[in-house]
Amino acid sequence: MRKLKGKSIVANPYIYAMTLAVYCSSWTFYGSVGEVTNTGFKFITIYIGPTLTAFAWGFILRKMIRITKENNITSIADFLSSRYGKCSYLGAQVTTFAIIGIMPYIALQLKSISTTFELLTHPELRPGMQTIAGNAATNFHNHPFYLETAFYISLVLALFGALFGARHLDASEKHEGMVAAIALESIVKLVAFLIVGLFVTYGIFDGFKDILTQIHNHDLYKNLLLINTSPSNSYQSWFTLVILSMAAIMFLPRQFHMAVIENQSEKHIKKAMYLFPLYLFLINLFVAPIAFGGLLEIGGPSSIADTYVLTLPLLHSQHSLSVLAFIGGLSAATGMVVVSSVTLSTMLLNNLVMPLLLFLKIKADLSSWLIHLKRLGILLIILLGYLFFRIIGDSYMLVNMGLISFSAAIQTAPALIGGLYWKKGTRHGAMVGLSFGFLFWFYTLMIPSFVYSGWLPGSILLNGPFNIWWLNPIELFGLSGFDFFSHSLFWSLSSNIMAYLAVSLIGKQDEICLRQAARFVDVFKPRIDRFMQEKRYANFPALSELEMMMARFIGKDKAHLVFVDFFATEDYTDKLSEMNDQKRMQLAAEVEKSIAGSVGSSAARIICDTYMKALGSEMENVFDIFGKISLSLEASQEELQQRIKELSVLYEASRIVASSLDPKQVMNDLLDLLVDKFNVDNCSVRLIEHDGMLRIKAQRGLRPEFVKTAERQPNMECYSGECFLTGKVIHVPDTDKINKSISTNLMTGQGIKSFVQSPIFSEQEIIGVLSASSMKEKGYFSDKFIDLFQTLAQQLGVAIGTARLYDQLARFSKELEVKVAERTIELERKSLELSQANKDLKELDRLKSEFLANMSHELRTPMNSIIGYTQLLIDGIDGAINEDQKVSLETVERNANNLLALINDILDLSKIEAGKMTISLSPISLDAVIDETLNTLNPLFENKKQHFYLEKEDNLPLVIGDAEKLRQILINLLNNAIKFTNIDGCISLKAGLLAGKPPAGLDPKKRYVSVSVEDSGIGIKPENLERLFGEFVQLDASASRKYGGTGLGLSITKRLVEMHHGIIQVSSHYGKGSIFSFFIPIYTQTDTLQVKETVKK
Amino acid sequence: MKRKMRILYKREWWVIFFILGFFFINYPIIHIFNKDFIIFGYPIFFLYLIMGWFCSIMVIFIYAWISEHRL
Repeated sequence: MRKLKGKSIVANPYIYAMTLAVYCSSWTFYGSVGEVTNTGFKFITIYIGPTLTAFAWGFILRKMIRITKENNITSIADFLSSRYGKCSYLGAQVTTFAIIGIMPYIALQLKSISTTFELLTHPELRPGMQTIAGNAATNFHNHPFYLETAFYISLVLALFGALFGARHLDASEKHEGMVAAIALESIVKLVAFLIVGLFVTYGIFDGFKDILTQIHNHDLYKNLLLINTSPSNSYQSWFTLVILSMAAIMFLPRQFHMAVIENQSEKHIKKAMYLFPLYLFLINLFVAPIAFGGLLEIGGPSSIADTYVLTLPLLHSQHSLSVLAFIGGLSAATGMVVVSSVTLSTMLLNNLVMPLLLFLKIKADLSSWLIHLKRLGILLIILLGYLFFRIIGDSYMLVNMGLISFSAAIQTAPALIGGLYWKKGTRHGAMVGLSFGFLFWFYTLMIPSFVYSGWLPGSILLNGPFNIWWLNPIELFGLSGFDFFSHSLFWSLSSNIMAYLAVSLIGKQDEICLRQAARFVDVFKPRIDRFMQEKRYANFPALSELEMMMARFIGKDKAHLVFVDFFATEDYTDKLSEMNDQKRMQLAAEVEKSIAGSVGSSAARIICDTYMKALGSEMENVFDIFGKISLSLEASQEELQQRIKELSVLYEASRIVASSLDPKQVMNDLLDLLVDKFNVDNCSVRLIEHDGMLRIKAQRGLRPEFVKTAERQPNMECYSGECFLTGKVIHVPDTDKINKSISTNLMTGQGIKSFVQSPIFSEQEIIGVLSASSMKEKGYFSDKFIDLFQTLAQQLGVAIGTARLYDQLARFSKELEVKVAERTIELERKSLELSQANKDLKELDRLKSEFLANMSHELRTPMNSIIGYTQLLIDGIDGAINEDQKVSLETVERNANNLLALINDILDLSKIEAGKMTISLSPISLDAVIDETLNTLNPLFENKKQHFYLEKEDNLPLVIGDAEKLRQILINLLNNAIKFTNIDGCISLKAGLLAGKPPAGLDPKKRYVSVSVEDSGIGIKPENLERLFGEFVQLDASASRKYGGTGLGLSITKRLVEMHHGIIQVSSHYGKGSIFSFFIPIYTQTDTLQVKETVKK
Repeated sequence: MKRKMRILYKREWWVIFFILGFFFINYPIIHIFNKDFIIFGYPIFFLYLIMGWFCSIMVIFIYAWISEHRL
């Protein structure tokens, strides 16, 4: 019930340590005592060996337990078979050897029980009755087996075994009933032995000292206090026994079972590591006193010494104590036989019977059969032990019989330890190694046993079989001088190890063996099961079929439970379609593991493989594209780590370089980095300066006086100079060997032992040297560091170069600013001068215009007088004149008029330019202006007989203008037209509202009236159009003479139009005529009426 | 103190003790004590074996205790 709840009563370290004490069988209980009387303290090696092994439990035992749990391993044979590729042959081999190897050991237990039983039930056999146990034993074998005590003891023990170890089939091969019983028997045997020991030591004798002193003073037994007194207790045999017992505690099938298979928690190991040796210590504490006491009290040959534990109390009539001793001995023997038989039966079933049944293709439901087979196995094992007892039971002492088994058990050690720590160990290596070991064991130990028991002729041990001396089982190949067990151990173990190693190294492992090797050796490493990822099942069976198959081996309920556990749900029948390849692989592995718990790993593998194959479901490879990549990554992981470190330094250096534009700071930070990360003792940056000197600009760890002396022009007599001049990295691993005079003094002065220097480049040019040195050791700088150092120097070069460029740029920028400022001041000054000159010019211009205006005015007055008086003379008012006089006077008058017109024009222009011309702008009608003008000019048209046309829109809007000035404009334009148009030519005047966009120069928001004068006159050359409106312009001197005029008319007209906020345009076709148009704004209500405006030019 | 204890966690100590034990229990070390000599009334070889064995058990105990309690 406790077990079902998940917490077992036996699951604690104390019980675990007690169950390990199954090691102490009747050999310990009786045999050790007998051994003392023969070889002294040699017996103690059998118990100190396991104590030594306990030191290693923390890793070996823990590893074995972890592997066992992960693989559902059921026995030591299963462990080995599973490790070496779940190989059923290896499992069968180990099982066979183990059964043969254990026979003497079981025989030993049967012998001890029957002997002590006879002693208790037959008083005549007891010491003091003048007979010896040895004789009694001899007598036993005269009976047929059914009259022999040992036979019935065997049957009872088999029943015990079946009861405790084969009540039901357990998938994990854990037997809690058996564990509890073994723990109990361990306590019983310890208590019984301690009580007998105390009785003998303090009851019969007066304590340890008394017994030991008596033995020491006893001539016959004195030697028992020492070893190496006879071949049987030589140092060599002592060593052999230590080795044997060290291995036995781990590799005897029953010890493996109790320590590994029955272990409930890895945590229990730690306590067991000292509790179990302590148990051994206690149970052996009284072995010597009892043995010595027996010798002193009873004496006699060592064969009866085996029973001193029993006979000493009997001799002192302590019957109850002797019964207690018997119970102790019985429980020790029973415990050993039960556990051994159960363990070996499991091995027999899983590694021999099951593969055989599978080989024979028996298809019955095996789950109900298995338990019976197991019980049968237990009986068989014990009966085999009995058989051995019958054959050679008399010829050996208990201890020797046990040691034969120990020697067999140690043969699994090479394959097992190799399997735990050496991946290259192969199946064939293990099988061949084991075969060699077992063969030598059998030949050197079992054959002599048969000889001693009389089965084989004694001559074999004297002259060798068939008189071949070098085949003598106890002096094989002539190896003499060894005791029995050392001789055997040497040959068996050395051949075993050599064969295992050699065959493993020669052979190759298959896939499953490789996978298992990795699973075992790397059990504590987190790992991805590559096998699971690289394989998949084609045609996976239905889940119900798989469950049915499992049920055949482990029963329906357990099979169901495995599936429920795997899917974490009761309803898993439809889950197959949801499972991916990997999940299917996992389920298959789980099924195999569960079956392995019942039938062992090799059988389970055969079962599952055959089943899957029968269904046409085979494993196939999954193509893994990344397989090779990850492998190569693994190989260079160390390299990658190194690279990451380098990159981190470079990253830091780049950060420094990028973080500042101050070369001083960059240098300092970079030197700090060198000191921090690489622990260099001193480092410096030298830079070349304008005066050609190489100077230390930044440094760490250098003495000030060195910094001063280090300043020099680069030359080949020092390393920094050489580095600078050649541009090569210089690495000096040992400063004792330098040959440059300057450097030698400096280096030794500083105590530098090794250094490295790298040139600093900036834009292909060497600008300095970066140095680092160590005062700690020679050869401080590795090649990898030097590469990195060079890169750092390059970075420094870039940083200094950038900083210098930036510096230069800043300087240029400053100079430019100064120049710009100077220019600006100059320009301002010049601009001032210009504006002053402009002002002066304007003033001069104004003065000129004023002068002209005044002059014109002053000229006009006399001119009027001249004209007036000339007119009077012509008219004859002052007296008659003749015709010649009249012509002359008319010429005077005409020229005077021309002169006056000229003066008027000049006056007008001057007024305009002097800003003295005033116009009064008001809304006026253009119609009236045009009419008046035409009236004035009509006679002129008629004179020249020219055709005049007027095209005027009706209802012209009012314009803002000065009527008189507008008239002047029109007169000027029409006068020009008349003047330059021949007789009979055409002149037209057009006036109308300007449609569309006003021409450039006018306000586009306003509306304008357009007035144009068109003639068919001489026209104007295109190149002259531009200067047409200039002052005093007569385009052609001859024309001036022909047509007359001052050349000021158009200039004045233009100024007048502009005073009206308008513009004047001209277009002409040379030789055909011209069109003069002007535009002036119309009056609108929104206009602010300027009654009077003075316009200044 | 705790720092010093932590040094003892190292698995190598077990290997060292294992090897030491193996040497102490074998020739030639035992040869030193394999003498007909009585000390405090006990034969020296007997004393050596019993004391040595007990000490090695104590060593395991101390180490197991330390690693279990994570001092």
